[in-house]
Amino acid sequence: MKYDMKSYYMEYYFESNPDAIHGEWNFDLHDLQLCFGVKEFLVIAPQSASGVLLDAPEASKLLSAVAIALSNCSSLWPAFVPVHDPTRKAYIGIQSMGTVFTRRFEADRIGSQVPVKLMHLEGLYELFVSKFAYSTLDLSVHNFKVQFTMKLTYKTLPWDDDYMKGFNGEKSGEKSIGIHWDDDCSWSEWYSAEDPVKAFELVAILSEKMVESSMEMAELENASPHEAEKWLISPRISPNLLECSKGNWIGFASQLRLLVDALEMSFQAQFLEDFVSVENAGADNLKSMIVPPPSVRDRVLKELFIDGVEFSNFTDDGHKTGRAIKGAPREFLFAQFCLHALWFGNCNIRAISVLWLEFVREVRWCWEESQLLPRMPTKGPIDLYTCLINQKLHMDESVVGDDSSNKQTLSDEIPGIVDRKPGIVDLFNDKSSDVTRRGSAGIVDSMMLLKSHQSMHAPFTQEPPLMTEDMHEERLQAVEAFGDSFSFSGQLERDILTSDMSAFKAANPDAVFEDFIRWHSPGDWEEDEPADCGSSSTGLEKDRWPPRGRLSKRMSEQGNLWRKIWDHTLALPVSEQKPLLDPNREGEKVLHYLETLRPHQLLEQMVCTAFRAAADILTPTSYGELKQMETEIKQLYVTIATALRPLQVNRFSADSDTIEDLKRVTVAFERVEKLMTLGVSLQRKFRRAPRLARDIFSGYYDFSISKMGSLAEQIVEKGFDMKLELRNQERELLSNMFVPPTASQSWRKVLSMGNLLNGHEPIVREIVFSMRDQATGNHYAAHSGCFSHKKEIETYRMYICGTSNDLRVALSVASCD
Amino acid sequence: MATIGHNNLNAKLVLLGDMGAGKSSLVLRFVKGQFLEFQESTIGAAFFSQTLAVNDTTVKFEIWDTAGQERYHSLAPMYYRGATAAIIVYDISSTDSFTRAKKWVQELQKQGNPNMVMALAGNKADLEDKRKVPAEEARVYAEENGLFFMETSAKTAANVNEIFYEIAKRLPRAQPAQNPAGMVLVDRPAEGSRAASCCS
Repeated sequence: MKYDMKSYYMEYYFESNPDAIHGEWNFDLHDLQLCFGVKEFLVIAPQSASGVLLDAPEASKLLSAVAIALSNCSSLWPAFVPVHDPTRKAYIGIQSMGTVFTRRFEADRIGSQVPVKLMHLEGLYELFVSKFAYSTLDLSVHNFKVQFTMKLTYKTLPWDDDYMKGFNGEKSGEKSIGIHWDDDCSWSEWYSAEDPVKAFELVAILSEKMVESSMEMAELENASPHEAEKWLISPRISPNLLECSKGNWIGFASQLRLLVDALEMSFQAQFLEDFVSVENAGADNLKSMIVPPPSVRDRVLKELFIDGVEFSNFTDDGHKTGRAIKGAPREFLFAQFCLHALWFGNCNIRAISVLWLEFVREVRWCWEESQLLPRMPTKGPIDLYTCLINQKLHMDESVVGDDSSNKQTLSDEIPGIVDRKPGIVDLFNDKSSDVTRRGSAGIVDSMMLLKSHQSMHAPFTQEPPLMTEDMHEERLQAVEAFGDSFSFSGQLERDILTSDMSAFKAANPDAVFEDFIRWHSPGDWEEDEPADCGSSSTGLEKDRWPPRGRLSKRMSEQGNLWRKIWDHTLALPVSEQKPLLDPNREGEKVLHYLETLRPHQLLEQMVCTAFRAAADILTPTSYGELKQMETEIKQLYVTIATALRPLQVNRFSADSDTIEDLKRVTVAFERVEKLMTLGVSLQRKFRRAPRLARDIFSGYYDFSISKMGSLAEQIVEKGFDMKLELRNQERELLSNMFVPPTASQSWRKVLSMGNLLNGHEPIVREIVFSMRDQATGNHYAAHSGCFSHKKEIETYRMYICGTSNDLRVALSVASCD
Repeated sequence: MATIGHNNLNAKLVLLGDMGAGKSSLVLRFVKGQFLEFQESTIGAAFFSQTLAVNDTTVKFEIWDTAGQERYHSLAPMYYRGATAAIIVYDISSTDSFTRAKKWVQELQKQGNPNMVMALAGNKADLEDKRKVPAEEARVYAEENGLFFMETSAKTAANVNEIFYEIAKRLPRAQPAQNPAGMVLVDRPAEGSRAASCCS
């Protein structure tokens, strides 16, 4: 709007929901709505830097022009013009209220040096009453009945460590100084998070009261907020929690981001050693990377390879979908390596290379000294869903484990005459064959040999060889190269079969091929139907000797491969057989792999493992029952798995899309991590009122989601503001958070306002006085038809908002002109 | 993992099941159209490949036929690891083989690729007079476990090509490109008073 070389802008505020019944202290109210008790309104302001009208005549001229314009279109909206210095938040305004009434508005603020009188309720009351003097209404009645409501806002002290100590004094009394709030959280082994909940604000609302004298007001000042009608809590959440901050927030997400950067760098060199040697030409950016001193490195390695680490539960209890992420379970050695690497220096490629080379050196030392690796299972199959390095380490571990345990365990097996059921063996008196029987693991239940009247013995067999993913891959590729074939059978499986046959022969010297099939592939032995199944000795097969039956057709074919192998197999117990895989060779192969690993291969696996391990560390944290959190975590795993998939195929090259995706995942990770700290922090603070923790969390969660959604729309930056009404039983909990200030804290502040809560004075005290005229008996009532739904009219209304050193007053006066 | 390129799909398929259920016969029928009355027992595993055209895509199956003997069980993960599809075969004339098939299903559900297409094949459907496993029972089981079910006969070729064809149709096409950040954008209803400003 242009007028006389000046532009003005108009702002309209609409009541979005005019039917809603608003209490006096609705928190959605616009500042001016609160000040003047209006609904829709209009603000006219110049488009200047200050945004106010400094010239008083201009202001009133503008205001009356607007008022005339408004009344010409029979609008009943109030109009406001900002005046004076912007810090004073001063306004003048006017509203035509139908035909006879006009309301005038005025607001101003004292920024400092508030008169003592106005700091107390008594003085404020007198201020309000003094305004009546200008009223055109009848002043003969001096017993003013003034409506009064009050809102008090308190704030807890910041949740720093000192404060917390005071707060759970009885619990943390014995603990040493320097404890952190999250010391018993699952992530605290790695880092300490900033407590996202900075403080709570408590809003206590006193219900409307009729006040008749300043004495009464003075008494009200001593009223405790415990008497308030409503208590509302408003958490102050650290702004760091929301921003996607770089640098000033430390957590797994921030370290993972560094690791992804390292992955990006890893493609620049062929060997990890290249990153370590400083002389490397053209590596200026490498020189800037800081490697922690050797003492730190040694400490990390010592921790990794510490002896006596109980490694009992290597069951993968991680998140179900965690398996989809090709890493190592977090208790495993490689996962621990990755986690340490995250916090080693600033997780740059140089630091990682240094740590890895030392790590491999340590693994080789263990191998050469036949020492078991810590944090690895010695038994059990290799989990092909873990990353290759983990599989390799597992392989190495098993090979070392076999090597060192073979000598002792086999010694009890070698004699071979293991009569697990001596009674039965004696029964058949087969001592003759016992002499040569070797490597038996015991009798097979109720199975008799075909050609000799003896129980069948199951042999000890070789463990199926452990194979890592790449070995499988190699085999499968060899087979595929071989092409379609029917006669093909894996060499490995043939070796296993041969070994089994050898062992079986050794355990059952009198056995024939059919016996082996009956034990090894029972489906290929067709038993004759007993002629008289009803009455005969139904029990044991050994009563009916020899067992009747025949091989299946496919096994009895001419030139059957199984029989061929059987015919060429010597009777050898497992202890005398050549192992299926040569442990020395396999062990060396593993070390060779680790020692010649390409930088990007290492980093890819580290990224996968670190993401998974970090997620697995976060998830078991107890955060109470937060549904949103559960979904977020589920979602996070899916997201991680999806983004990491390109890394799991080995044909990965420096693909910028993938790196970008990974960086995005770290953002998502950060979000979940931060929400997690919030959930945990809230849960701890509201142990006795989980409802509050849940509600505040949901409120924040919704807020953070809307925040993400509105990034593009550029809605005015708005902090998280949430008010939650407390139930009666929850009041005590909150009031306990207001610890009576210690002596050192209380001298800092001069208490000046009254309405103390456990010795804390409110940070803001807001008061609304209002004076109402009964509509009945008012001779204007007949004319003010449009207000007939109101029984009375607010003739005077004053809003006062005071802290200990400033005071804002807004007055609206209705009068008839 | 199914990989895609110009409407060509490579799919790794693994056959699991009790010994003698007819896994090898099923593959042979599908790949070569042959049937041997007495198919030799597989030692370890065998590999075949066969290409199928489904609509506008060609699917190349890389088929791993495994041995059913218990002894080789511990080697099975290397075959079903990374498999896109699995056919679990049992013999309708043997309840034991059906029990064993259920165990395989369990293991795959626990250990296998979560998006794996699983089919349950009741083989030797030609042996109707020796049937021990009612088709209905298997069908109900398959439904409960999200498998698809067919009774096949490698001998008569009944449903053999069909089961492979059905798998080909169900293979996941391109991996769905998920938004990696996985953000959930929710429209929030407008709350409280809204500010609107206009300049003129």
